[in-house]
Amino acid sequence: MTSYIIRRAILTLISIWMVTVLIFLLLHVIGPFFISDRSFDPADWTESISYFLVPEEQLADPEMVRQTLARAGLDQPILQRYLSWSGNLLQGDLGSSVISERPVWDELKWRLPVSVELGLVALVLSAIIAVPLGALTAVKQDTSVDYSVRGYAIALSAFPNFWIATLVVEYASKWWRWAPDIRFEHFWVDPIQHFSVMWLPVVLIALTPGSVFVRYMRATMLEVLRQDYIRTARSKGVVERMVIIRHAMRNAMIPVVTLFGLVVPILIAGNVIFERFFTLPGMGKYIVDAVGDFDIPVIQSMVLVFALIISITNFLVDLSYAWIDPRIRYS
Amino acid sequence: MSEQQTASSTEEEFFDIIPEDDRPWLVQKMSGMGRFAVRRPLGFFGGVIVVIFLVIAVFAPWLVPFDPYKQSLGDRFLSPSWTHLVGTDYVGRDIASRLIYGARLSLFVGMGTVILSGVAGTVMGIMWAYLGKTFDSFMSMMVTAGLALPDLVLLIIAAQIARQAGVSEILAIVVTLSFTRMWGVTRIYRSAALEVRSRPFVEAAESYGANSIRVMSKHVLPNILPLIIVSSTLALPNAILAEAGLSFLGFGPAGEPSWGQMFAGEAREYFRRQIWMLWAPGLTIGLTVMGFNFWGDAMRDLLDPRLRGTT
Repeated sequence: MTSYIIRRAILTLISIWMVTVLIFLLLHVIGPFFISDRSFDPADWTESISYFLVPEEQLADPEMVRQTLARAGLDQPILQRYLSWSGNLLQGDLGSSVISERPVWDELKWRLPVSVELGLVALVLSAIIAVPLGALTAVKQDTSVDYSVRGYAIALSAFPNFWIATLVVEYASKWWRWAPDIRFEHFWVDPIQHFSVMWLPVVLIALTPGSVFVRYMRATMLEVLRQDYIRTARSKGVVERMVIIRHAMRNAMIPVVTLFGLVVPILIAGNVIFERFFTLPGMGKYIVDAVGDFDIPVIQSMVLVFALIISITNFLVDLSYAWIDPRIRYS
Repeated sequence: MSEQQTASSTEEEFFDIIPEDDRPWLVQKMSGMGRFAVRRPLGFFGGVIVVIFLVIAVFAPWLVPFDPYKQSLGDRFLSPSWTHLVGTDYVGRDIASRLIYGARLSLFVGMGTVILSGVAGTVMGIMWAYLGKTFDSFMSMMVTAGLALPDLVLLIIAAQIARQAGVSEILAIVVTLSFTRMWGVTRIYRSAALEVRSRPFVEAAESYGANSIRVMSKHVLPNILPLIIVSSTLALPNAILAEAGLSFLGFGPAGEPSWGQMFAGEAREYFRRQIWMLWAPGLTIGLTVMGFNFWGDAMRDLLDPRLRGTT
C-alpha cells in the first residue's frame, strides 16, 4: 500500500507541474501569439500583452506601458517569467492582480471558503439524497418508483442547471414576488444571512451530480443484487431490508466512490456559473472577472488552484479505492 | 470427402431454414425500424430527435423563416403565431430562426469535439495499451494532468483570447473542449484495448508474425469500435451543454445565435414580456441532449450488450 501511495503521489505532483507548464504556455505563448497576429509584431510579446493590460489612452505612452508591465513582472523574458512564477509558487506566493494590485492569496483567503462550502455541501447533499434513491430504483426495478426517479434523473442531466435556475428565479418573482437574497455575509459574521443566500445555489449545484449518482448507483446496485452472496444471504433467512442495506448497498457504493473524482470538475463548473449568477464572492466569480480583465497573474494562479483541487481529490479517490479494493494496489 | 459433403449439405440446410425475405428493400428497412421502435421506444424517440436535429442544423440556412440576425424594433415581443412560431425576442428577432441557427452551432461544437477528441483518444489509448513501459508512465502522467484541468475555466480563457484576437471563437471552443475531454476518453479506450489484447485471436495474429501496427489497426481497433461509437454519441450532448454554459456566462461566440446565450444577459430583463425567450432555448437544449442520450443508450445495447446498464 505504501509503495502505491508513493507512486500515486509522485504522479500527482508531476501532473500538477505539467498543468503549470500548460497554463503558462496558454497564457504567455499561445494566447499572445494569436493576439499579436492581428495588430502587433508576433515576436513582441510585451507589446501584444500591453494591448490588454494598459488602458487605451495610455497605450501611446511607452513609459506608462513599461511601468504597468513591470509592476506585474511581465516585462521579463518568458523562461524567466515561468521560473519566477513557479519559484514564488513554491514559497506560497501566488502573485498579485494587475488590476487591483491585491495579492491573489489575500483574495483566496476569503473566497476559498465560499466556493468550498458551495461545492462540498452540494456534493454531500446530492450524495445523501441520490445514493439511496439510486439503490431504491434498483430494488424496485421496473415499477413506477423506478420510472419516475429515473425520469427525474434523466431530465436533470439533460436540462442545464443554469436554465433551471433562471426558470426558478423568474417564476418565483412572478408568482410570489420573491427574489433570491444576494446580500452575501460570511458564515462567521452572520450565519442566518449566510444561509439565506447560500441555500438556493447549493441546491442548484447539487442537481447535476445528483442525477449522476442516481444513475450510477442504480446500475451498480442492479449488478450487485444479481451476485451469489446476495442469494446466499437471502437463502439463509436474512431479512430483505438487511440484505439490501448491509449486503447490497455497501458493496454497490464502492464503485460510486470513483465518481467523486469525476464530479469535482462538474462542481467547479457549477461554482463558476452560479457564483456569477447569484453574485457570490467565491473563486469562480474571481476567475471569471479576471479573465474578463485578462489579469494574467490571477488567471494562472487560479487555474492552478482549481487543478490542485481536482488532482488532490483524484489522488484521495484513488487511494480510498485502492484501500477498499486490494486488487487495484498491485496492478 | 464424405465428411465435407455432409458439412456443406448441413450448411445449405441451415440456410434453407431461414425464410428468404423477398419483400422490397424499403419495406424490409421500415419493418426493421418498426421493430426497433417497439422494442426500444426511448431509443427510437432519441433517434428521431437526433435526425430532426441533424437535418435542422445542416439545412439551417434554407429552413429559417426569418434572418436570425435581423433586428426589427417594431416586431419586439410578438406572441407565437404562424409567422413567428415561437414569437420574437427583445430586439424583434425571430426566436425560431435563432434556435435553428443555434442548432448549427451546437452541432458544429458537438461534432468537432467528438471527432477531435475521439481520434486523439483512440490513437493515444491504443498506443498506450501497446507501447512499452516508458510510454506507459508518460501517458499516465499526461492523463493524470489532463484530468486535473478545470474545463469550463479553460474554455472561458480560450474563448476570451480568441475573441480579443479576432480568431474564430467556435474553433477555440472546439479545440479546448477536445483537449480537456480527450484524456478521459483515452483512459477508457486504453482499458478496452488492453482487454482486447488479452484475447486469443490477438495472440494468434501475433504468433503468425503480424507486427504491432497491423494488430492495432486490424484487430484491436475494429473490436473497440462499438465502444468508440457509443461513447462518442454520449459525449456529444456533453459538448453541447458545455457550449451552452459558456454562452450563458457571456463568453460564447459573439453575435452568433447560441442556445445558452438566448436566455442570458440582457434577455433576462425581458422574460415578463416574452417568456418564450426562456422556455424555447431551454426545452430545445434539454430535448436534444435527452435525444442523444436515449439514442446512445440504445446503440450501446445493440452494439455491445456487455456494456448494458453501465450508466
